[in-house]
Amino acid sequence: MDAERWRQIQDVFEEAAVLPREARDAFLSVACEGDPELRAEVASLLSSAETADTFLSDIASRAGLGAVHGPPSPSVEVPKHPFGPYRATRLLGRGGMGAVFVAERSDDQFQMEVALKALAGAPLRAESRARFLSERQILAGLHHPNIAQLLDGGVSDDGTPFFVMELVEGRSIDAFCEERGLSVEDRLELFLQVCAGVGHAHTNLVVHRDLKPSNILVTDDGTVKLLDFGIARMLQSEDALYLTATQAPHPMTVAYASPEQIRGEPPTTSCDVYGLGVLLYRLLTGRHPYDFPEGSGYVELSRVICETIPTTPSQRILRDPDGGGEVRRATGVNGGPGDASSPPADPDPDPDLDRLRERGRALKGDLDWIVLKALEKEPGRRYASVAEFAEDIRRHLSGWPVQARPVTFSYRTRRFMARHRGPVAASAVVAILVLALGVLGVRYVVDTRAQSRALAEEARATQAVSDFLVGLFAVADPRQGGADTLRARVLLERGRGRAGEELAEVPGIQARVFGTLAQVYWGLGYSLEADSLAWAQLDLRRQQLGPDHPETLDAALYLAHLRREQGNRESLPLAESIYREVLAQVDGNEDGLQQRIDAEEGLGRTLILLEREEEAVTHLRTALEIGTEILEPNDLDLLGIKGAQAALFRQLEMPDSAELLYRSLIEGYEALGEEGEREVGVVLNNLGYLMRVQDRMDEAEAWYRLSLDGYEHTRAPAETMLLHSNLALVLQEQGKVDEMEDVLRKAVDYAESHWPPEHWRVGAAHNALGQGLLMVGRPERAEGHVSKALEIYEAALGPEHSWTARARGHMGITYRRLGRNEEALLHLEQSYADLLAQDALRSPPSRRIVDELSALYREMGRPDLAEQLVQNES
Amino acid sequence: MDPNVEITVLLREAADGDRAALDRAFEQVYGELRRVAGSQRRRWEGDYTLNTTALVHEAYVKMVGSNSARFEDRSHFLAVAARAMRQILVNYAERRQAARRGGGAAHVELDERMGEFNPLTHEAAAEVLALHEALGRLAEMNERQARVVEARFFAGLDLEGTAQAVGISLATVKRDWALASAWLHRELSEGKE
Repeated sequence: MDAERWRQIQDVFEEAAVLPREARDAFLSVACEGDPELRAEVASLLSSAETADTFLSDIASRAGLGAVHGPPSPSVEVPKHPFGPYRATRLLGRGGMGAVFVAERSDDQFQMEVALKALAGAPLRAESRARFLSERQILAGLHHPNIAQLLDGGVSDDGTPFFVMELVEGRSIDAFCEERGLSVEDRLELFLQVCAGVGHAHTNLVVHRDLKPSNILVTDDGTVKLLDFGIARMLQSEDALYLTATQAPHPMTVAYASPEQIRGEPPTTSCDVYGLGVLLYRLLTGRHPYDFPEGSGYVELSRVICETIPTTPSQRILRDPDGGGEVRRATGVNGGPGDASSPPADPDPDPDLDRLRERGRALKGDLDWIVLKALEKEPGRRYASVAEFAEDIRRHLSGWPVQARPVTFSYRTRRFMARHRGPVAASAVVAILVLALGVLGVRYVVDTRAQSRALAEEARATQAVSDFLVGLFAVADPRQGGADTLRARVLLERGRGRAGEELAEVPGIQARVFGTLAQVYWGLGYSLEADSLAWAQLDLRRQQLGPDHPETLDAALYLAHLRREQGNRESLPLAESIYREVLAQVDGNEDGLQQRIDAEEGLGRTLILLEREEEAVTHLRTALEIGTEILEPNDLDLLGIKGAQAALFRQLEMPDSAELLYRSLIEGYEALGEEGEREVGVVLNNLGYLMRVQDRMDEAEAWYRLSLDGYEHTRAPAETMLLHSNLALVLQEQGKVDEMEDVLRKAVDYAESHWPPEHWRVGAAHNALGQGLLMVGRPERAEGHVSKALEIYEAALGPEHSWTARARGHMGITYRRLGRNEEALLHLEQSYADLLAQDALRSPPSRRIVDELSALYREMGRPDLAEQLVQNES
Repeated sequence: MDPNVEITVLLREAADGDRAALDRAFEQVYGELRRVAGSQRRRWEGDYTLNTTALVHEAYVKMVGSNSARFEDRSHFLAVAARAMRQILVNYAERRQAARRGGGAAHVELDERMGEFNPLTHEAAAEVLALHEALGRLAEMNERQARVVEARFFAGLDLEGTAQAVGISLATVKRDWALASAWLHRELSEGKE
């Protein structure tokens, strides 16, 4: 079947597939009129579509593929082997981290039932085992009526870490409140017990970091017991990765995590304050503070937690009266409560609306503010301690004014923004603020006298540096060295040596020369040399001018940029720490605003590369805010920051915000005239890409075309070629085959007018056109281009180069499509032999050639030869 | 060059259409996946599956680092990895078939790391090869659809991962998958019955 026909089948199939089953026949009659074959084909595909998923996943599982959740977890049986002096007697439940058993001491020293939690996962390594045991000592020292006592812990003979705790029988705190229909006051009293336990742990420097209802049980007599204190911490180490590498993070844990935990910052007592805020919210409203869209992934959850402001508890109750009914009513035992499968208690009768309204009124005011203060995004704005939090609740209960008050205008603004966000996701607030600031922009006033002094100084230093470099090149022997870069490299080596010796007396100039040399090295791709020179420059500046001088900061920024650009996992954290140092230096320093912008932007870009997008948002926003204040509205730096932010929005899947920003960028660059022209092309291309990833192909096409128009006037041939292929791709996706061909032809013309006819890039353009035509089933038209590509590659790259071999293979495929099997055989066999000789058979483009040759052999009645191909390969 | 830098550079160049870079990236990813597969097998002795998503993830972390890579690199990596997983499976399948033919076995060099281990039964091997060949035919009609199947079937990617790997929208993935899976189902069943 050829591609054209397949396209036709696809079109009909897709339209039919979305129709209700009973409407399909009628549709097919119309759509396939006069083409019974088409109709039969589509009908047969529609019927196999029904079971296709199962069919393929069965094959996958027979092939051992697709088991995506790691090794099957062992079925939970009560283990027979001892855990230290304990022996498990029955299963209590299973949780995210392992199974919980009732256990007793096997040495019968004293009869006491305990809860034993055995952690699932790989055994601990020796050094972790030691740390684990010492942590256990600290936790065993926590004695408090509201904390389930940790009695023991250890590592069993088979290496499984385990904990032994006081056995608590009770219900999870949220279920307890609902079942007993507790009043707001009673709920607050229970909550105060929770605070007492957490506060005690904090004074012993232990953080819980995983506070959630299922970890908080209430016994029949109304005593709160916190479970699993510090267990998360004990497991935090390099082993944590090992333990959880095959387990997805527990979703509940993410839902209760604080923004800074999500950003991966080390947990502090403030995380627990936040966790208590979430808990209190739940106890008062029966709902989680945030609405997570259904099926949210980690990124979505994180975004909601880090960026949206929760509705006040009172509003939530009034608006959302069903909330209370959703609370889980699990019977809790320590360890397994959250997911225990015990039967739910009797459900509440339909929520009594009046009672709810009353509760809503009770929350309005103090309690709203108390809860929201605990839930602040910035740890610094929350209660400073659990004790303060508890104190405010006590004040409320006894009718005193509370510490948490509705303070800021900005708070209300943020709330307003959050509610009126329209189609744009919440953090587009950032973009809106930015645009607003752009309008209001306050100009930074420069002291002109100081400026002119600085300029004179600048001119002198520049002159010295350029003298040095000119001298360097003047003494160079032009016959030395070979290729251009090689010669440059030799010169640079010499310059580095001379700068080290001759300029030692003038450290200011020396630093500058080092900096310049670093740039040149970097430009030539010698990143190590560039890095060490940039480092030397920074070192000199520090000694000479001190750590907070603008020149020192510039040198630091340059080094950080280099490391960011290297973009690997060693260099990025280094870049991050330098940026942070610079930020610490310029903090509160009015003269360092330009450096601060650079550092914030650089840090933001680094964080994007580190995939810490949420943090990146903050820094890019700061860069933008300051930049908007002190720079011209169309300053290239400022526009660059916006570009980074737009890309970030795209990455965060906030296409509307990205688009908004890109559009404002175009205006900015256009206002710059020639200087901005090339950048406009880049933005247009990025817009095209943004549309393409959203499957908005018509718009993608339009943006790409605009970009191409602009590019044709610039001298950027490589980018222009890339744009042609982007556009061709979109056209192919749209099924605009003729236009695709047209664009690829233009690319060939363009290549031919920019490079000599025998240049490989011209060959590549022919190759792309030929392949495109083959792909859409036009072998007649492909032939000339494929053969041209082959000819050029052969001359430019040599007959045995893998590109040449592959172009020959494509020639063979083309002939086969044309029914010229003899020629096809000749080319395919030659191509195969060349690829085999270069051990290049396994790569994907080669596969097509091998498959084609093997099919041809079979068609010729020589399956033996086809088999031979298979064997050659392994 | 630092191997991590190298792989990211290769992936980037491959994404820009440099076929030679794509070939080299493929070779590296292929090698790493086999290494990881070998070590996974040792770790879960006796209960081994190719556990594709975990494999690909682990290879990714080893080669590119979990944090350092650009978003785009990951999608390029996924695409290359899907191709590599396909190749690994096909190799197993061919080896299994060769072993069955008896005589062929002598020519098959066993990979030391894999030992004599082969996750495929004869039935599965035949199915994998049939699917592989059918995918080749599908690619002639629509290469993108074949890549979608490759990503979902061989790399175990979900719809979103597939969209990233192939560089198309979620909607397109869904449409392509619906048609391609129906077609493959029919092609493969016809052979059987």
